[in-house]
Amino acid sequence: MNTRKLHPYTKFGVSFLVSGLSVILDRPLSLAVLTSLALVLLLLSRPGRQILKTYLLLTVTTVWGIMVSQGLFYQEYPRTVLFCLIPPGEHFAGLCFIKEGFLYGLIQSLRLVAALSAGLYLVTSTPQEAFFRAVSALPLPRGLTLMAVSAVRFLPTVAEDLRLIRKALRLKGYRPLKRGILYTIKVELSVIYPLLSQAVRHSRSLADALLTRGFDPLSPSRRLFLSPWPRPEKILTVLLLLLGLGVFVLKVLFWLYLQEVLYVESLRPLYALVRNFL
Amino acid sequence: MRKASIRVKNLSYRYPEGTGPALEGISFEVRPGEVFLLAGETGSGKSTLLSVLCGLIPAESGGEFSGKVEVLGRQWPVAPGEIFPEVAVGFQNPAEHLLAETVFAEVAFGLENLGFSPLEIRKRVAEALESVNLSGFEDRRLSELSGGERQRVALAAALAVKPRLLLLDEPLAQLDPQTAHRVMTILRTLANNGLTVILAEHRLDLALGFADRVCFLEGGRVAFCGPSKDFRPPARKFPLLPRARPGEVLISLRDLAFARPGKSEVFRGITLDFRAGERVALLGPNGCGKTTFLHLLAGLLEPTAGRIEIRTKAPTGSLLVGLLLQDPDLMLIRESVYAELAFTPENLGLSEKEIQRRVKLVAEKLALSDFLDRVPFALSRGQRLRVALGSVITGHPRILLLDEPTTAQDPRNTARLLATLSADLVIFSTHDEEVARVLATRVLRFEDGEIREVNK
Repeated sequence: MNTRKLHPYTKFGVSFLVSGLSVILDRPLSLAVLTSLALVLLLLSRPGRQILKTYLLLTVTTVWGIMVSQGLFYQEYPRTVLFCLIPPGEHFAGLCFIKEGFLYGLIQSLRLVAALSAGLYLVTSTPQEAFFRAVSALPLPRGLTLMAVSAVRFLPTVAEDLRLIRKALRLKGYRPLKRGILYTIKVELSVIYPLLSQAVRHSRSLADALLTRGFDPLSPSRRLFLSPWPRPEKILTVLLLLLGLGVFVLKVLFWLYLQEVLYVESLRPLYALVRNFL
Repeated sequence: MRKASIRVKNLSYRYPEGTGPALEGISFEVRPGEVFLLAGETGSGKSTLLSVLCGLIPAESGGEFSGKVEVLGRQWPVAPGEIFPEVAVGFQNPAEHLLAETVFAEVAFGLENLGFSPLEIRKRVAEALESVNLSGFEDRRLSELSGGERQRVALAAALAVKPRLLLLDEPLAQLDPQTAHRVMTILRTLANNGLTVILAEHRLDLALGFADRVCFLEGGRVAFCGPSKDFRPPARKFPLLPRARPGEVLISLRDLAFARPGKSEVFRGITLDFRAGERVALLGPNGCGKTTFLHLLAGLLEPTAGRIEIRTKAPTGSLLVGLLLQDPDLMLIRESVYAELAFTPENLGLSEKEIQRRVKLVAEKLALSDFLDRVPFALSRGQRLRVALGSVITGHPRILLLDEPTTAQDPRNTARLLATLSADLVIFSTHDEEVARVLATRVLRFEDGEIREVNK
């Protein structure tokens, strides 16, 4: 199976579902399953080696970064100390790794990784033109969809500008940290000036092109040259979105029960399902 | 006589916050089916005038507008959308104005806005691409095309909507002479069939023979307007620059080649020496590799084969290599001109007194003394270029690389600029043959992946 070949709308639906569930779900196990599914989806689209390398770098740093920081700085109770880097003293609470913090960090990072995997699957497996056509055909004013598409399209230009700005700084003798941390921060932040000026110029050029080519930002979207959405994929997407909606409804019911607003005896198995797995 | 397509009478325009008028007292008429050439130096007002004719000025730009403009029977001000598709525009830098990812989508964009059926769109896109000799390019990505091909895509996009008036800003800028000749032939044929074509172009040798009439602008005013056969481009005056005897080799290139990942080589087998005292001009159309070559010399890019050897060292308190980027705005990072000029000496670890001395000297040389407290981005394009250049030369580089320093400068300013440079070796790129011939001690021409020495 190659998930790369799915219709862009199916991919939108799946990515939306994964992102939504990553916010709704709370249990580490269910989040781990969701993240695994998103990862399988990404791998089945056969991403290139460079994409996988970037993905690994992002996920490993995200998971460990969040887990370590939450493990160290967790403020809730109860707390179980695993070990201390700096033991507590008379006037200092110590710097210790907290088990519950680790767990909390794991949940948060799994949320991020699930959404990241789904997003990466959508972006890397869809040809740009098909992606843009699909965005442009969304039932939104064309002014909004074109803005979204343009923002993505100009990212490589911004990256190239940034590369040139940094090289130009280097050619002017600038070396990070050579003249102190404050000077370095100031220079690094000032990179924003030329980037903003370029962004304004590109926006102006884009606006001129749109104005002179009959573009109406308020006109409705048009589904031109977008391949038809296969019926089985359409049905699958609807079912998946219904599944997501079902989970959302269950979570709301469970929350109402916890808040002692609504309790229905016959829903007890569902309350148990949410408590233990969702 | 047929009714004029365009009537401009006593048109003047000043940009918002502009120091002087960009156009002043412009009057002319263009008849249907004419090829009308707008000529003039960079900054003479050609692009501004085209922006007026397509409705962007004053409807979308503000500023002070006066005079009468009538295009295809409509009185100005008119919004650009109201005259589309009767008036179609091809902008100066197609790379900045292309809206889609593929050739098909780009050419189809205007047709989609007009609500044509997919069938009609496909037909018109095919016709438009055929007219610019790009049939079969439909699925190609714009980012993979050469500058010249992109320019032709922009032209096809303008032609696809079947306009009555075509406005083109520097349509030949990125084309080799053969392709430029082909494009001009296409435009001439279209004009013979009733389309009115107005093009702003500085490559007069290529465009003049195809134009019916010429309007030559100087400083925003009409210096000549009449039949192209009566037009003689005014002679340009350049001050003489001192020439030094070439000294030791400072840069040595051996079998240099460069290609971007997945693309063909920009150039190959380049073996050259650059010596102290030389002022070298790099010539060639846009996209031929001049910028890439300068970036390689500056160390911004790595060659794919061969080697670059810099056989000198920077004295204390100086840079070895300085580079002025083609887009000087990318070099402006400070909040004042003074701070910008002081940036390089600061990084060289010089004393405050020495920094002040260098900033003062360079500001005087580049006529920037009055702007030292100003924000660089609040200055004109030409002034910003001088600030960016100043920020490099306050570092006293031994080797100075300049990417298109002639942009937004008249020849006199360019000459003055080059005369102020005290580097041992200056290498600059330009598309202006005359500037290269007069101001450089040595000229290299980039053609078909090779670099040839030009006998001056």
